[in-house]
Amino acid sequence: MTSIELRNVSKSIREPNGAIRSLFSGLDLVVGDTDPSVALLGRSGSGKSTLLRMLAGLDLDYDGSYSSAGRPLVRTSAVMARHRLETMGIVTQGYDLLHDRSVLANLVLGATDRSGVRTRAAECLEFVGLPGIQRNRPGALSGGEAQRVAIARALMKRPSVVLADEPTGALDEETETQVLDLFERLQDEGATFVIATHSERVAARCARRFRIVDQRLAEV
Amino acid sequence: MELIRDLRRNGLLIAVKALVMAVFAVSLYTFGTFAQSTSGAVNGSLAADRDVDLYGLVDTFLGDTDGFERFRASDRDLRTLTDFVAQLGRNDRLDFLSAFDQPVVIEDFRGDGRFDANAGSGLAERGEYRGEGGERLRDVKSMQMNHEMFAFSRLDVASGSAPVWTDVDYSSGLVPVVLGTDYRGLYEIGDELRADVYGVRERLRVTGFLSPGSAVFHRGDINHYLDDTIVLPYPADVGRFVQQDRYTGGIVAFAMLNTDIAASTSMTYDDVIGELGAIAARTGFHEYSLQGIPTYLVQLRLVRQIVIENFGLLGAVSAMTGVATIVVCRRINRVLGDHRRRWVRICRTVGRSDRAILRTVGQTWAVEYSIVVVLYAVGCALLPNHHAYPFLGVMAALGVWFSLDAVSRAHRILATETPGRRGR
Repeated sequence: MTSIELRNVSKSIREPNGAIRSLFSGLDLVVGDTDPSVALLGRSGSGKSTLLRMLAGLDLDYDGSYSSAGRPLVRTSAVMARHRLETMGIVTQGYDLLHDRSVLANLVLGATDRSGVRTRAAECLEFVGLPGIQRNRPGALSGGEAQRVAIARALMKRPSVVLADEPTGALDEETETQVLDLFERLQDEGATFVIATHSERVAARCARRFRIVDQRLAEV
Repeated sequence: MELIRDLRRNGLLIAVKALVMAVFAVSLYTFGTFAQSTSGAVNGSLAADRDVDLYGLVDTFLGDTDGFERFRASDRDLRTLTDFVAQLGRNDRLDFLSAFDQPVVIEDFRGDGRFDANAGSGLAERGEYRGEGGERLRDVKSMQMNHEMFAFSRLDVASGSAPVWTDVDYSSGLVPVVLGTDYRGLYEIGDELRADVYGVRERLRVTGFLSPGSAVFHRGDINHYLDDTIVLPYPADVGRFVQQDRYTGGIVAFAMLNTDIAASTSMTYDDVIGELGAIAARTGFHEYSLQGIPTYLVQLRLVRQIVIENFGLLGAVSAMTGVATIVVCRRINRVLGDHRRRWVRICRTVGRSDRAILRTVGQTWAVEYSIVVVLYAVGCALLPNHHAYPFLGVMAALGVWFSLDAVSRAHRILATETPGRRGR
């Protein structure tokens, strides 16, 4: 299991009106050491998506340290991209599927190795309950199906950590349950999940829950 | 694969952008070639310091053949003429611009009909013919001139060197010549052409080639082009030539006399008459007449003004085309960038490095830039004006443009946001 540690993190952001606002101050977060899933809760604008981006190495503009498996990482774009490529799968609220290509071609984008990519894509689609749709276009999928294809893409590289930002935000209750069931199955396979959500129902399905309070994380 | 996908999706936009850039490049090339030609003309044959008054000098034997023959038969009279010509050549206040377009006969000429003496004149070309000994002959265009005329016309020898006028001696049998640019490929520097010059057999040794578009003012033609002409220097000492060959020397001396004189615009007609009168008094030669050529100055200024105005007009059109091209290209870049945005975002999210992303999209840019270069090269090839320097200059400018374009697009890609900011 790959652990990721953010230590003593401080970050400020510039508001649209130009004012500087402190988002985090002395924040610590460790994921992947013992718990299979972590929920980051917070009201809109509290910084949970930013924190997820920092975990993903997509946001590098902060003070503090970043370690992976106990090893500090130099926070450069290239180093973090490699780290992301090797260890992480990311699922976004908007699915981010390309409509100009098939489901298979979308899944290929998430693979690190081109060998056996078709077989792996079939496995991932099977796992998310959408077997045989490789040739379909994303535009023809429902919201739930599109989200599951996005999850399948995140699984293509067999990630040890999956970061999900409001993964069920646009789904109805039934589809949300399907996706969360899927996440639990993935945890059984050994992947660690970090989910940023404002939904208490989604958070309740996670092993640990943190809420962003006063620029730090408080376990709830 | 991504390249093919990109070309399939954005092919039309890429083609439009490439076409717009190529059209601009070709228009820039056209402007460059025009600028090169005009700067040559404005600094040379149309230069402002050529604002001089020109006067035509003629002998007074026109229609008086007997008098002419009597004059040429007299050593003393001929000496007055050659002294007059020599002193006129040394005069500081007057430029003695001697030029005459007597064709020369060349044996085994390597060129074709375009060099024929009558080519372009409206008269029938004589073409190649056989001499008394059966040799192949052709009358070709030639311009005899003195050094003052060569300098006044700012003739530039592009390769080789100009003849050394002080060494020119028709009686030596070997005369250095400069050839117009159209002679390149037919003769080399150092080649000798067997020729008949004013009835005398000479060997004409090639010392160099003129720059393209070289021209002189001749017989009212402000740009009498010499690209297809042999420039033959007049002898340095026509007096000595007359002593050695009175018949031919006399012809050459009269040819030299019937020419133009350039005088500063500050000199009046009477000043010029007075100057010539003084020379005549010293040499004893009075059989000349002076004619004003007011059209020269008027033509010169008019042509220069037209050239400069056209230059400005073409420059303005090029500048406007440039601005329009920048606007269109930026707009198309923006649309292409938008089409790419989600792909970039996903690539970054899954962990592809910026370098890998740029390498992939760079393939499409390379195709786009290659299309521009090909269209530009084809466009230039189809134009009648071919100049190496403007072509290479625009090519270099395109290189700079491509670099800036790529940097700008790369910056735009690197600035593409990855998902997650929305829900902060």
